[in-house]
Amino acid sequence: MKPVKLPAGYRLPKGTTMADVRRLDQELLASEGLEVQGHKAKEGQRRTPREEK
Amino acid sequence: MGAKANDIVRQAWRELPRGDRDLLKEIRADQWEVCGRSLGTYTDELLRSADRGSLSAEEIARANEALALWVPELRVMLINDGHPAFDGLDGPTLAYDLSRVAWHEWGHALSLDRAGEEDIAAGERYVELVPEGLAKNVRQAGYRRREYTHEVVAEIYAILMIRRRQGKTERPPWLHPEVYELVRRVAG
Repeated sequence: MKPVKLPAGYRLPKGTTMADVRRLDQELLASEGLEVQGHKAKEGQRRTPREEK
Repeated sequence: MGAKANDIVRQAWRELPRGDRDLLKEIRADQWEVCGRSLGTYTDELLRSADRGSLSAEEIARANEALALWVPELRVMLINDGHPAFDGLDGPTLAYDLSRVAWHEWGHALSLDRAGEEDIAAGERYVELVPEGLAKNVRQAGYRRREYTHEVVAEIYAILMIRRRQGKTERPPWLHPEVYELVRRVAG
């Protein structure tokens, strides 16, 4: 059997969150006067605090 | 979250330029599944059940960390909407993150099929040319050198789609022309 073509994935570096990714996006977009839509940059992004779940 | 997540991915698909969607259909990269499973384990199950081989334990472990995968052997994109990275997000943020990840994976599908050997060999150079934060994420996420070009294409493709939502379709001022040309050439 021929070798399996390996999947290509979206992984984050250890200690990096999607919030960090959004912040980076925001930096790039802000340089063009654009915004990360749907991202509340200063309010955080959690619907409810984890401890209330 | 499955149905909602699937709706978000479907919307992200619809937002792709028609030419990109056609290209993805042409290379049979227009199928996806939002599965809420650890993706290495699930992909290995799918491969075995389709009699298409299996992944090594190391590859399963790597893929289990992924939020999403493009599986070229099965021509399907998988998204683990149960990944902790998506935990507890409000609606707009979840939509942003899932769309971004889906666009990244469609960028992968195009790159894996269309990037040439020279493009792949130049991966380290392309990483050096992207903005510092993006380069750092590619280098620190444990990708192999031969995956660098694909990661650059996928990340830039996703950000170009985010810009496109806001009516911007030209080369961003922060993106090196060589990288922009790579993405245009590979991703349509």
